[in-house]
Amino acid sequence: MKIKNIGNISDAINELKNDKNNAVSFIYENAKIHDGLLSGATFTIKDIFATEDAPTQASSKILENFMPYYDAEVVARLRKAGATFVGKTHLDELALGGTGTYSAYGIIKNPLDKTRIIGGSSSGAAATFSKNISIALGSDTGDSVRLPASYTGHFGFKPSYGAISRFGLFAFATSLDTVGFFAHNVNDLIVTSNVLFGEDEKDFSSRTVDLPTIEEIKPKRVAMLSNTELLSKKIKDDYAHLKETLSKEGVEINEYKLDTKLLEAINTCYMIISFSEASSNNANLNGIAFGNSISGKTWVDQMTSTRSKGFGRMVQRRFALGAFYLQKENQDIYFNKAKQVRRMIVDMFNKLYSENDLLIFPSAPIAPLLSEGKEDNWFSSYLTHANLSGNPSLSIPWVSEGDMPVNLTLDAKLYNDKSLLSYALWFERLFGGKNV
Amino acid sequence: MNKEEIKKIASSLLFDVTEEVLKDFEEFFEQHLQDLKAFEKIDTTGVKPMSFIDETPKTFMRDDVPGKSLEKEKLLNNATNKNDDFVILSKVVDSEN
Repeated sequence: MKIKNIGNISDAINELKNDKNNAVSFIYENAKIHDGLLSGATFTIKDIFATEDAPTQASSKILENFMPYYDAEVVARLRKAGATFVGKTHLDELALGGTGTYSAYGIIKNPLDKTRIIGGSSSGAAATFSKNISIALGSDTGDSVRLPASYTGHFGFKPSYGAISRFGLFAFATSLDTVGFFAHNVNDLIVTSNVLFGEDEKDFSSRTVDLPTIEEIKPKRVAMLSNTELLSKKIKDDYAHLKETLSKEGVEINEYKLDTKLLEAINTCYMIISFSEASSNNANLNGIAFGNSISGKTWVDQMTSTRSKGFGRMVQRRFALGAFYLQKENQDIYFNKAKQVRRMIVDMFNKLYSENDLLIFPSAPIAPLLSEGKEDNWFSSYLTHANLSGNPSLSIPWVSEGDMPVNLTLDAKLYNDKSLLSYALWFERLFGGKNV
Repeated sequence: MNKEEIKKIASSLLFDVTEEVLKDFEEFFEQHLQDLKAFEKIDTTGVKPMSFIDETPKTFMRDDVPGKSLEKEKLLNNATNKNDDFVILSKVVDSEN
């Protein structure tokens, strides 16, 4: 088992040095090759993971020059396995936001078309992800790895919630946050998963999940959705064609019409839960023990000045909304209700997983124009259902519309990461394996 | 939410919002309210709230063994106001109280 796209250290560093897209937060100028399973493989780290040897600012002014002085568990495991870190990448501030337009260090645009958004919050990871980089480490709370993966035509993997320790990943929404990563092929996702998966006593939500192996398996039963009304004609045709192809390959296709009201509720449910958790989790950013600080007469003045200047407007809006949902009079109608709707959404998808090996659906529409932003409909936030459920979800390069890529998402039952990646090897070959 | 309510919530979170943020927020919330109204109509009668993805309780019981922690100098290095041993914070309890 070894990484196929090994990358190139000096070329990767040169690319990061020449970045003009506000995507790079730190460069490991003296990066070297180390021994281990990942020897020679080049990695970027989303700047939301604590690193012992570099600042971790989460693209927020409030954490300017913050030095954690310790490694996140994933960073420590990669180091131990011989990975070479070449740089750290910018993100939508504090990993909130899903467009690449909310980093305090400038807008990150889609390198395939600078008039379009790249998606986020792992925006810098996606924007800098060239063949010179083996793996780009990110985090996925709503779709933060898989959406930019689709907007840029890369493999983006969100493992099962708990499969990878989140110790040292700055918390956004505790019940949703998941470590994820970009790769150039399924093999490299599998190898990296073998390094990162595993329980960690420093993260009580971590679980033992079967380690994926490099074994291609053809799925027997695949679920497809007939909810295609929001798909463009091109993508709808491609999805219908895929159904024919799979049938010819002898795969049993089961088609489902999901409750549109619940699909439409995914984003609202996500917003209520994640913003509420975020407003609480980030109460520690107050300029006292760490981070940027603005002095004041009293401790309240100091914290208020620090947080007013330190947070961008998107973060302020989300925190305020989170506090609104958590107000005493709103807890039942919003926050507790969201937890009930979450179960309904999870049950709806779990039925499909229990009857099939996989669920497949286009990841998202093509990357929207910066001037227009994401459309407000369930297809634009479809990927988020996997964060509510915690199931493993993989976005793989599939087709294009015009000059822009559209990925296919493969979803499987919670903790079935091993079989999901085995099926993904089969799909990768079916789609031509051009990235292998 | 009107501007005063937004300001009140922001104040409870210890930040002040600019007029620009207030305007942006008001516009956003008007649209968001439509989504919330649709959300409220979903019949959740008898549905148990889901707080955790894996609802099987799990604890990591371990012996209380002293371990290596971050060095004091490094920890203090991240604070703006400190002396050789402590982070310095303005007095929290007023003298009148």
